[in-house]
Amino acid sequence: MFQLHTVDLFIIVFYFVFVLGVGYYLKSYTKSGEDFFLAGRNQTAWIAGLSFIAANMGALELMGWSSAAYQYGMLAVHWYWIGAIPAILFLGIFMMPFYHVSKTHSVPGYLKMRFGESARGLAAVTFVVMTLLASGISMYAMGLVLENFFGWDFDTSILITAATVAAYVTMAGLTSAIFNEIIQFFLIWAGCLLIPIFGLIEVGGWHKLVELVNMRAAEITTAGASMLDRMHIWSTMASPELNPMGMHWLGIVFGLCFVLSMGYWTTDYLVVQRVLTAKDIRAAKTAPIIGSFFKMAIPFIVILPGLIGFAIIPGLQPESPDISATQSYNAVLPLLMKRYLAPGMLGLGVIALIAGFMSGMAGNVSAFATVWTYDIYRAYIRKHASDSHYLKLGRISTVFGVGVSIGTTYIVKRFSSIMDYMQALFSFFIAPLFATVLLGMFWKRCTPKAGFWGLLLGMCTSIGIFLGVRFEILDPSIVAFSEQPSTMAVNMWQAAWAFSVNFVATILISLFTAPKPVEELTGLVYGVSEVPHEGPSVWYRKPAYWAWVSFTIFVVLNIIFW
Amino acid sequence: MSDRTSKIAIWFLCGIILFVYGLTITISGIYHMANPPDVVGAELHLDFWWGMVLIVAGGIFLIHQRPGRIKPGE
Repeated sequence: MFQLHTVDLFIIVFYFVFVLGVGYYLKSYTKSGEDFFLAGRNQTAWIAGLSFIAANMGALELMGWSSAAYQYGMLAVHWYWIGAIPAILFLGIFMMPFYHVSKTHSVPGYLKMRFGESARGLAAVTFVVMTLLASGISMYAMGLVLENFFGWDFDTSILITAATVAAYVTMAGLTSAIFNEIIQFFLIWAGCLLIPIFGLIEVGGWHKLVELVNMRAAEITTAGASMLDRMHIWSTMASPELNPMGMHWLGIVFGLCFVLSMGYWTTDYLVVQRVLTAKDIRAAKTAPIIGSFFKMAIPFIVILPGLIGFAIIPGLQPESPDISATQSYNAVLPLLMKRYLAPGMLGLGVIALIAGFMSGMAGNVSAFATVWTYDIYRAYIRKHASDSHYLKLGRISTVFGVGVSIGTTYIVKRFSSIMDYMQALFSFFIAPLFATVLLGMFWKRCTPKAGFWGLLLGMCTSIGIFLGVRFEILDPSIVAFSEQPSTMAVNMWQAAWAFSVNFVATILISLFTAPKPVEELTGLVYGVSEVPHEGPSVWYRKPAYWAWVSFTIFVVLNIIFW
Repeated sequence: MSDRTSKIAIWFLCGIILFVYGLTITISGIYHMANPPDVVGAELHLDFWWGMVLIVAGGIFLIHQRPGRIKPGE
């Protein structure tokens, strides 16, 4: 158990008071539905870009990927580089112009304009259900961390943090969520940045760290087997047997980069909502690109601590009922905090975890409130109410969303295996959705019927494979093209299958059904619309220039750690 | 929301919290110079230096983004 001192408690209490104060201050500036649900659509590229990344930096992200780096080594970095950067840049350069110009309030809202009501309804309902479940799961994980490492009561910590998020999001909606996400973004860096610095000083620098990791990897290699390299990201991926993740490079490139990551970063409304708040087309395109630079840097505070933990805290194990929480891979980041952070700094470290949790949760509930109010309530329950009615409903649904998330937390607590299942399921609703949005935005022949049925078939495929593997009806080696695939590899291929089935089905159905008239596709589809452009400007204000800079850094990083 | 944009920039708010935390951690860092905590690397006094970094970062935001100096929303 970690000992917190008065100075740590001051830092924690100050944080809660501060974020509530920010929500209260912004309340008087939130007068309309657009203010509440889309932050007035007047945010700068930096504000939209940082909150875009912060909404993705949940506590599960920080702890989960440190744990994955401990378990799999540097391969975990793929989820930050190839599993994020190409998709973020694609969103910024190719998709944001259409999202922005169509003036859609959400991704299901775009589907309504492109494919009609049924596709919007399917996407909205699955998004709402999955978002609330994911929010509850994330809350459960946070409650466990605070209970296991700091001795805080599970129920009290859940209630205080959830009530704080509900309060500040209810007061000023997305504006408040975004403002607090940016504050949380800085606190996550302030609280976590010293850990890898301390770690590198202790082990004696990067080269010593590589030596130590290789030594530890040799120690855990069973007799007769060859040691699996943990410090390279591509050179060990020619065959699944050569790396600790059991993953082939094709799974990473197709499953992760092309399907999961593209799906998540370009169609998951939790993150897309942040960039939809941009004030103009230039800000809308630049925001994700700004975010890409920070996304590339996050491995320094997430993956590097996992590697340092592997080198200096040997013996952590996969999570299981037989070991205590402080002995599992998931403990690596909190254990390093305890090892290095003096009182005061430790409080800041705890705040980084809590801030991560709260930013993720605020992202979930604000996205939920928008999709529920605009894409379900206004579309199917009450179509022509006043703006103030929807604003009021947005506030009520925020509190309702937090309440349901808390309820989910206790369901997960009773059936902890649901946690693994739901994380996987959430991802796999996103993979087919990407195929639908991609074809809808870039192929004018794609028909409304194909959009709906393709999406439904893709979702059924992902759920079918998932259930088939879980209940041992389907051999995972067939799904993942590998003799003994890891769970992560199966997840990756499951997403790839869902995407492929949707993609092929949508094309085939389109060929046999009637497309929309071209004039109805203006502003929604490439090829029949004039691509909105941000206008002339000096070179350093051009989004495309910064996208190339970001992409070049991404390529160089992959080559350095090849 | 353009005519009702917050008078205080988000960066100013970031400045407040970074500055307060920086000050707190610097003071605890000074205390730890005389009473070293039981953590690895305590002799480096990185908490003191990190507190100073946060004060400077917070201070820059506070000065540069203070209300009245920057047009709201920028």
